[in-house]
Amino acid sequence: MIKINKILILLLMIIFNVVIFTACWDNKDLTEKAFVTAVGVDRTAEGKVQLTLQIVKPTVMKAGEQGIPEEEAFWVFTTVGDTIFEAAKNQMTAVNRKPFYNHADLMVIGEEFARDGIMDALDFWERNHEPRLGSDIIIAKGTTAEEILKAKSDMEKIPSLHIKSILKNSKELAKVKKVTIIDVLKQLIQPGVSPAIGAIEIVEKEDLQKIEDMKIDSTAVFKGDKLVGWLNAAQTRGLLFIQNEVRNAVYNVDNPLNKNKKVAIEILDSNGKIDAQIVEWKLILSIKIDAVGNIADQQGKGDLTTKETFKKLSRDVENAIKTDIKDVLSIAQKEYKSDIFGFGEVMYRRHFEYWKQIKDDWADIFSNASIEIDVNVKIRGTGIIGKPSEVR
Amino acid sequence: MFRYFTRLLNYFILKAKNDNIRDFKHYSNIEKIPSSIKSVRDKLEEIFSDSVDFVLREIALGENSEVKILIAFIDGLTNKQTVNTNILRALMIESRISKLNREVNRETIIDILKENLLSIGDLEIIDDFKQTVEKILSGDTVIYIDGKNVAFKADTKGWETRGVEEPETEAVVRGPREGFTETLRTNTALLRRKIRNPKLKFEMIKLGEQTNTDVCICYIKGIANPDIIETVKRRLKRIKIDAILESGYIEEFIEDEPFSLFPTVGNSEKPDVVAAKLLEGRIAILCDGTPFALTVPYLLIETIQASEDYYSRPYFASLARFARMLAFFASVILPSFYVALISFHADVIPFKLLLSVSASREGLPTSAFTESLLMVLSFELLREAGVRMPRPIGQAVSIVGALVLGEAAVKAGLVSNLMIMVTALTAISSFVVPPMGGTIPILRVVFLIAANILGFMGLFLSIFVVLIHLCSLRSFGVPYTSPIAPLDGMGLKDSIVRFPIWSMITRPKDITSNKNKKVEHRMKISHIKKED
Repeated sequence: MIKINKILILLLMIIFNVVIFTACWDNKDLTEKAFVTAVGVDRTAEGKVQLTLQIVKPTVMKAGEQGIPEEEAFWVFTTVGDTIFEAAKNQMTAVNRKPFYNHADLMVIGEEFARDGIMDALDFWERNHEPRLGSDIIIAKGTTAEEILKAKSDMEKIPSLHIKSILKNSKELAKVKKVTIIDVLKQLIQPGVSPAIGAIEIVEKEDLQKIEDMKIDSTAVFKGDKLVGWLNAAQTRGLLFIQNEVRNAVYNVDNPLNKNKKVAIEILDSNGKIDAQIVEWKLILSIKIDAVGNIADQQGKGDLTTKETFKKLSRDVENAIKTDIKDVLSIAQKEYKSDIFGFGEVMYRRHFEYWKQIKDDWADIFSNASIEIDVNVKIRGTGIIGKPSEVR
Repeated sequence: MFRYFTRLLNYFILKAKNDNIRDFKHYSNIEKIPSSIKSVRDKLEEIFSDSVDFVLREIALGENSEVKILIAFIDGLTNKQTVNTNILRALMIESRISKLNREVNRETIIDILKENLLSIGDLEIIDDFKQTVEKILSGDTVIYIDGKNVAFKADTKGWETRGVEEPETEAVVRGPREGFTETLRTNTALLRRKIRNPKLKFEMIKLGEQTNTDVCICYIKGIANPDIIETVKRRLKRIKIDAILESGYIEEFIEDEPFSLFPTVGNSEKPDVVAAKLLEGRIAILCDGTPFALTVPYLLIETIQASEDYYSRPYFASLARFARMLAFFASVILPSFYVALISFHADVIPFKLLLSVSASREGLPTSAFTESLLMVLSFELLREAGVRMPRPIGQAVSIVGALVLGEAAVKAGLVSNLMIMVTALTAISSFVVPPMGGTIPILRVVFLIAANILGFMGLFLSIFVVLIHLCSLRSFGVPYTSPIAPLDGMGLKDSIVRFPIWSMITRPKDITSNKNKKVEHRMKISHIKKED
């Protein structure tokens, strides 16, 4: 009896293990793998899919440690196929090692491809066990993914790491809409919301393209999975305020005591909420932002630490934020007719019966809806000094 | 399955032993000492023929030299001074000076020898001839008397011994530096000096048919569990072997699971360690001719306990125990963990680390498994060489080890830098837990192979197998993983965290007899209160 129990426990443990450790069934040494750090997807002129891989060369990384960074530490490789999977397999005929997608933490999608629909690229990502759904996704504005991935970096040995750090830093300053593949997939399958994805563009076209010459501050607006247009930097910030993704932002407003001089207000925390209500069979959409700020920098003279000036400053910041929000609302409503904010999602959750009736016309309803905007900014502190030091 | 085979084997071993036990009657026959000194002499000379160290001396006592006495001892095993002054001088000169010689005749000789002449502390009258031979062999002097069927045994043991030195295997920063020696009597004295209590018992038993080695069972009556004492005695008595040269011989006979990788009998070279274990209710087995004393029952938790834990303050002691536990896991798992990571689960290595790891592995002809095996085995070679090498050559070994296996292996492109680090960490860790010295290297290789076949899954499967085995182990009836499983709340105070000594008011539950515990408990508490 005890023996049977023991065997049962052992079996249970084996099953438990099999369930837990289902990752990779493959004994492959590191030297047999090619580490893909970034993947680019483009549409060729013939309508085929072009896959670009940025692969690390460990040998050069090693040489670099000894102080002779002669070569580039990465290698960009392109293949073409009817599907991404075919393109990925075509890669194997030229690359001597098995591409290893686990650390492909960046996906760049060319503008052409995005206009046709990004779902064609994401299915491969969802279906395969190697690529990570948590990797960042970014759209190449006005260019191809290949161009972006071929660019070199002075700061990092591997350019994709450079792009990733920029994304991370810009997100902290509310300058880019940083999304991961799983975020995009979630928004795609959710009724009533369209994704907005950060975009990268080349500012100066040069022979030897560098990441430093690129700008990551605009946002690609999608309708369904198709790219429809772009948001500029201020509109992007408005979008982030609405989606409650602002952790830190800077607004410059006029110094109330000294004309033609500016005061920088640092937004330290922001709480954004969107709401959809039905009052007397009328749809009312509303946005409410509660933010907290600090005086971070003051130009010109004057003691700003009074109640009145605080009120004046916060009103100015509120207006500035409102302008950004209005800006992004109008372009999304009128020009792109795409609900990137998720009002439809709120409808779907709160007023499902109503949503069922209007879901087919939602794009029109959204673009014609009036939206109430309520911004509330509180200025809390002035840094470690009160009034500025006076020059005598 | 494994257990089944073990039991089957045990059955045959025990059966063979039981068959042998019947023969013991033969030995218990008493052989009378011949009354004629001539035949005694003949017999002894026959037994000790061709032994140059055997000394026979015949003296005549009495007015007319009518009582003949035969003195037998082995030169080298006896203290010369004692033999010369307390026996020979007393018999030959002092008897004459004191005129006792005149009173000696065949009737009075025994009383006179016992009460007036032989000034020896440990004097005994023996009537078994076989026993006298044994006594001679163990360093006593035997005095045969003509016309009597008895002989005197005088304790004159005394031979060249190593002094009480600091043991090399169990060095301490703080704590007693004395260690056991090869002489059993010295060892019992060392213990007796630590525990001045008549309840400390030393029971002797002779083992080894050729060597007749003295083996001593020590325990504290009233603390040690009588059942375990009985078990120890029973298992010791069953031993039938030619020679006991070291306590390791005994260890193999009395283990609960002879085929287990884990030790179920502990050993120590330090009297303070053994004394502490006796006070916890354990039983020690001292063996003549070796400084290593065995202690039973031996539990898994004892592998991470050291005597110094109790001599230093609890915080540091707990930290040290934690480090030992970590070292145990590290030295077993590290190489296999490395192989599993590199060969199977590169996705869980952070990207930047992965880059540097793969850069260091770039261009290596060996797989992670091959290089791990290579390094693990070559470390075993180095370690073995370090132990066996004569001291003066030791330096050469360390240079070869450090340079050839460390630097050159990397330069030659055989192993990666990281592997050297893994090996070094593994090696250092394996020295932190000395009692597991025989277990760790084997487990390490087994885990390594498992990790190479199934990655983390293989590694964890093998860990589970080892855990199951550990839970099934017992040492003299005490669960091996106690006090963690089965859980003993009070016992946990002296497990991974060492609580202050004043808070340890109970003895280990599974080891001591339960009846006894409560009394001790109350006594100890009252003692603490009085102190306050």
